[in-house]
Amino acid sequence: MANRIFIVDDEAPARARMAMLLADIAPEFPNMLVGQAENGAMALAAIPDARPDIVLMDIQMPGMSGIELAGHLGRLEPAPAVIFVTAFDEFALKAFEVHAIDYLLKPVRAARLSDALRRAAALSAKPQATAIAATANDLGVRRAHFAIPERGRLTLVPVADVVYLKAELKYVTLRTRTREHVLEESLLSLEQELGERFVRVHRNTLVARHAIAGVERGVPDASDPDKAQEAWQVVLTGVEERLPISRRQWPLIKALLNRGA
Amino acid sequence: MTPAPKATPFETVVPDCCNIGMVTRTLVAVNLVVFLAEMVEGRGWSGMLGASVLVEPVSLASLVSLCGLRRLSRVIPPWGQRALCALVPAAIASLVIQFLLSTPGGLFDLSVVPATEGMLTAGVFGIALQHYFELRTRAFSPALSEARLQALQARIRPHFLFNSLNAVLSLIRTEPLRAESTLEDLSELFRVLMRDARDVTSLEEEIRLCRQYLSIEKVRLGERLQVQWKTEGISEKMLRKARVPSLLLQPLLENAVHYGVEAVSEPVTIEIELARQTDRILVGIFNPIPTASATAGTRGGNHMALENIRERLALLYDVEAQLTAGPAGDRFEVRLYFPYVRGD
Repeated sequence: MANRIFIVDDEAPARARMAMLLADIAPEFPNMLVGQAENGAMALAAIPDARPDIVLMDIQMPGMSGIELAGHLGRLEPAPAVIFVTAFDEFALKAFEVHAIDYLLKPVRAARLSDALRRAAALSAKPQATAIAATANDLGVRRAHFAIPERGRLTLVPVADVVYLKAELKYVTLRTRTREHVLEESLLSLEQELGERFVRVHRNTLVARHAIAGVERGVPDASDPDKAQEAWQVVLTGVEERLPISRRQWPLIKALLNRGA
Repeated sequence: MTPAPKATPFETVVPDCCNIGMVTRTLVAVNLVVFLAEMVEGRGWSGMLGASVLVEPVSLASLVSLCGLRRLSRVIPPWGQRALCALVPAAIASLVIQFLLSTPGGLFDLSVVPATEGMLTAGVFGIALQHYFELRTRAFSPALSEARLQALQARIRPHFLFNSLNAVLSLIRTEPLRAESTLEDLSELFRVLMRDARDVTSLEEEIRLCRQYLSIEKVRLGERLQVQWKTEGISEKMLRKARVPSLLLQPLLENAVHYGVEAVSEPVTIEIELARQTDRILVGIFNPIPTASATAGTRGGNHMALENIRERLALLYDVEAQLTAGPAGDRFEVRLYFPYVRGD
């Protein structure tokens, strides 16, 4: 059965060249080009429908790097295998070596391409997703978007649009000015990755630093002694809702506000 | 676009006083001058002997102190370091003179060297020797900075080279003529890149090189790269005659393409302005600053090219040339001017 291939590269000639090579190696490695995209957002929109087995992906692209894109694709069911293609990127290549992630160097040779595709076809996606996450971590790549699986596709939410992240029982609620989404990630790992942009105001809440408009004293809830302790609340820009600040986090938030003032 | 300001350590201008060669040279120089002075004054060998009681301890103690202080030079600005080279010997001279005065036995005859004069002389020796050794270091260092420059260039090139070759490969079957002309442009660009960095060329040649460079990038980036040239008050003849250091403008365009165009999906226009102002040539290179979200996928920039060109302009034209770069509104502006130097 022919493997389904998808190409992501911001340079049109690079995509054209890759398509040519895929046609060249078709006799020895049966393949079918199921789509192309010039950036991460377009790739995320097209890939769930194109259902490729393997994605050939440039690393340096405007808007979303290949590393971030690969991380998002790892959340798809089933996730495609990813082969990175780059002209030159010392740091990324070192990280790939460490985590045994396959890559190709531009200009790509037909023989190397078919070798890499053969390896990728035999690979299972899960360990690769873990390796890509570790690579992103090594390279200090912070995601610029959340890619949220919703009804079989990935909805892209820029991290800059997020007002707060709140842990519920088994998932995390992501709130933007206009919508709510559900993430299947732990608040702790989110805090570790995005700690520069978010601050913990409560055991279960991370608030975007830019969205903090101020604080105010909430109405103490006499019926619940726990809540009465948490008298201070964060006032947010763009969202009516107030979020309680825990006593433990209060000194930190106060310092943050004083520094901003 | 703007790199975070880094706390770079200061350049060391205090001579390496722990170095035996340095110590020898300093002692020989000091003693020679003292000897000549004593001869001129007509005191001869006895005067020399008397002075050496003061000169040798001051010289040695100063060298040892500066040897130790040199470790701190990275946190002291160069002017402070130079001042130290004068102040340390002066202070030590003062201490030694005080000590000798308080020592009974009359080893020291104040009539030979009064205290203030001794301090002053020690200070002058210090600064003079510092200056000599600093100039000497500078005279030997161009080889070093040349090597640094080459290393920098090597770090920026590969990405461009391999992407360009890849683009040419994609053209060979479909547009062989365009592939040919792109390879021609590429080889001419690399011929200039591999030339001596101190070469001088005509402004016309430099502009031609820039156009070739941009046409290579155009193959790669297609509609995403738009270029607008504007020339004001410069005739063809002037372009031919004006002398400029080679690779003065191309690296600036490469910067604009890398940070302004490659980082964005939408078409971006780079503007290049050339103008003449009496005996000066003005160049402006402008590109819109990409929004933060657009650049999320690309690595942050360094402004090595800017520093590099600024340094070369300073070497060639001193204060007659200037390069300024920075964000202005929603675009990044690089402006430079240099004297209109006519060649044949």
